[in-house]
Amino acid sequence: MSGLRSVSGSTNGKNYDSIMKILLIGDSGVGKSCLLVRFVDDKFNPSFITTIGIDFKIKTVEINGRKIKLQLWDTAGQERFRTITTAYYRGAMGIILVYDVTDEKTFANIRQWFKTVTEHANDDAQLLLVGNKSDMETRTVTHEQGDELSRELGIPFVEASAKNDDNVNEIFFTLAKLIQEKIDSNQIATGGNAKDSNININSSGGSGSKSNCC
Amino acid sequence: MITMGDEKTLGSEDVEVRSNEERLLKQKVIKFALQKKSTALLAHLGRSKLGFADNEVRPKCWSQLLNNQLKKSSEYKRQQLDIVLNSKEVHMDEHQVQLDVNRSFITIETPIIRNNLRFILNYFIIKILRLHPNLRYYQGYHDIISVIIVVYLNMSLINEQLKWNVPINDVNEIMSSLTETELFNAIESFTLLYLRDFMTDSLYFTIDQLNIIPKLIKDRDIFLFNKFKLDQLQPFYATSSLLTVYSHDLKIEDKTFDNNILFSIFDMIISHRNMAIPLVIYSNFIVNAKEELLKAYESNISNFENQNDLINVIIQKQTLNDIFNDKTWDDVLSLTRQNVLINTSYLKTSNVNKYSVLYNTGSGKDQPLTNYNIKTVLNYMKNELIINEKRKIQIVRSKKFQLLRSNISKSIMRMKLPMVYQITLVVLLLLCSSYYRHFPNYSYNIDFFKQFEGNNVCHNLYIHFHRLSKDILASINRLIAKT
Ligand SMILES: Nc1nc2c(ncn2[C@@H]2O[C@H](COP(=O)(O)OP(=O)(O)O)[C@@H](O)[C@H]2O)c(=O)[nH]1
Ligand SMILES: [Mg+2]
Repeated sequence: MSGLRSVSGSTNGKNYDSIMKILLIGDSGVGKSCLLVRFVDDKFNPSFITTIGIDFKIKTVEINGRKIKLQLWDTAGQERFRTITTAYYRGAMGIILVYDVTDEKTFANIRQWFKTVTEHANDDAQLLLVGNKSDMETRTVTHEQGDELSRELGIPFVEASAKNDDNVNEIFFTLAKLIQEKIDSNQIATGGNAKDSNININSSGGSGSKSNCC
Repeated sequence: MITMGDEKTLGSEDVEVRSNEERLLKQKVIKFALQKKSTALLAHLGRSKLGFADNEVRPKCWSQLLNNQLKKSSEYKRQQLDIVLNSKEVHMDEHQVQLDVNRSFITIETPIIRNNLRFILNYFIIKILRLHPNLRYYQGYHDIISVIIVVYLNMSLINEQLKWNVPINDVNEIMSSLTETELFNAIESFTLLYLRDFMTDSLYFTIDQLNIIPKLIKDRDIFLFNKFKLDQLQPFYATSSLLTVYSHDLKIEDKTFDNNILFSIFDMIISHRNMAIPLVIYSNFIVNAKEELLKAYESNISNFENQNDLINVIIQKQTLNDIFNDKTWDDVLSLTRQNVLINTSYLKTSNVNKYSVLYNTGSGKDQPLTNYNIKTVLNYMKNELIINEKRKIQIVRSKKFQLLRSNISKSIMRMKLPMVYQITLVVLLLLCSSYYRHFPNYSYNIDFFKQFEGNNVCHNLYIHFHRLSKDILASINRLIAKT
């Protein structure tokens, strides 16, 4: 396990150095919620509840002596929920794309997920590809395939297991560090300025795009 | 996980005894109404405190009301039997059903019982989907069906029933075929009368319903409404509460298989014939928790960069908190009983489609005795599916359109033209696109914009602008002529 320490959720007041909004996306059943619960509560329940719509957890971690508050958003995988979940892509600094190494279809769909990210997320969001359930013997997607896809998409890649607690902390710490580096080198905007805020004269009924500044 | 506020005060035993007496008394009256087959009286009882009291009488009440609300001809029932018997055709959502069934009944500790319940759940969902292949399964539907199953199987007797302790391969090992039929009928009727809007392949109609929540709050507490700018925020916070009628969070308890609060919400919907109830309940939760919400807002304001995220999170978390609190439920339910919507003015300003459950089968209008023929209701569903497709096409189009427009404006910017020309071109482009948005049926054509992606943008736009101004004038003239 990594030598990074984590500090459990804090209360009021600004007792942290930065906030990072992080999103988990991917097909239904790949283990997004299990990864999150493993990371935040250090538990694994094989019949964890279905996520409907969107869910939210918070965890404060310490990286290089800095306290970082991770805002973690868990999303529903079923296609129809994308209308809702993509509304939360805005302002996300990190996005974790998860597939199931025992289910090729979820791996093939990563390209689709990647596309929704390029359409809805900030340009400078840091992405990470995760192949979950690495503990299973019945894998159908090899590590090399994952590697290849990650190179093609130009994003880092980890295989993990929420069940065995393999690489789970690494997912979140790696991502947080990468984001921190971006912030430090001033590449990332800390506000929620999504990319499509230039000429936005559409009016397809939704109003979610307004009050986006603060 | 579910912790009920169990601070025992001195008089709490008395209260318990009294509420138990109340329940028994209510049960007696319900039995009387059932015996007399008085649907009106039953509906009245289901609307009041405690709903249908307990699961000994509840399934009979639901069946009586639902069978009255949705009439299925014997011809339909025969057909239905044929279809199910002969259909080996797999519904396209069965994989998703499997994924969610595997995550259901998580509060039930005994593995064999849990697995048997999952088997039954899977059986009924698949049956509904195969019988109505145009219905699409959504994540959360399984939670609702779980509730109906537990109610009909009167699970409180489970400990005495040995048959539950062996893995089953057929639902009839657990229930008689009569129970199976009644249960299936209830599931089918509840689905078609109340959940139709959710069962397309999109969330459009669900979101239309959710958007009623801010309207309800505006009427009740304008300060809160303004403070949280609820009109500028899509009410996604209530998604799972609406889609599952609170059964995602209010779980059936282990051993007792009870959750009277949850069951009584279903009682209310069925006996008011009103699917706006989950929305009214949610708005009552928000208004009720005003102080806590304002506090949470202040203390979290520095934790979020995005205002929408902040409001969504504090509302969702606060409601979840309240959902696990019996006392809040008492308040909210009694409030809901007092202000169940009967006027539909909130619908007029909404985007809700005219075949929606909120306009007919779940409108709460004319009270619960109105009945619908299954043919009519299936027709509503068909129409909803058509509208759903139309909306999808519209959205895809407008997305493509936006993308194209931004590409064109980028290519204009890249051209080495004097500033003035560039600005003129962009203005022309905006004019064109607003023209196409306002007259979508009048020669709306994405291909038209495609031609500007090439190099003679300038020339083409100029030519078209001339034609356009004529077109605009012509259509304005036509509009004037009409009025
Ligand atoms: N063997 C194994 N199973 C897992 C792992 N993570 C999740 N699962 C299983 O996959 C199912 C779906 O996980 P869930 O987190 O609900 O998926 P989500 O839909 O992506 O949120 C769970 O019920 C677990 O049984 C893992 O690391 N190893
Ligand atoms: Mg999940």
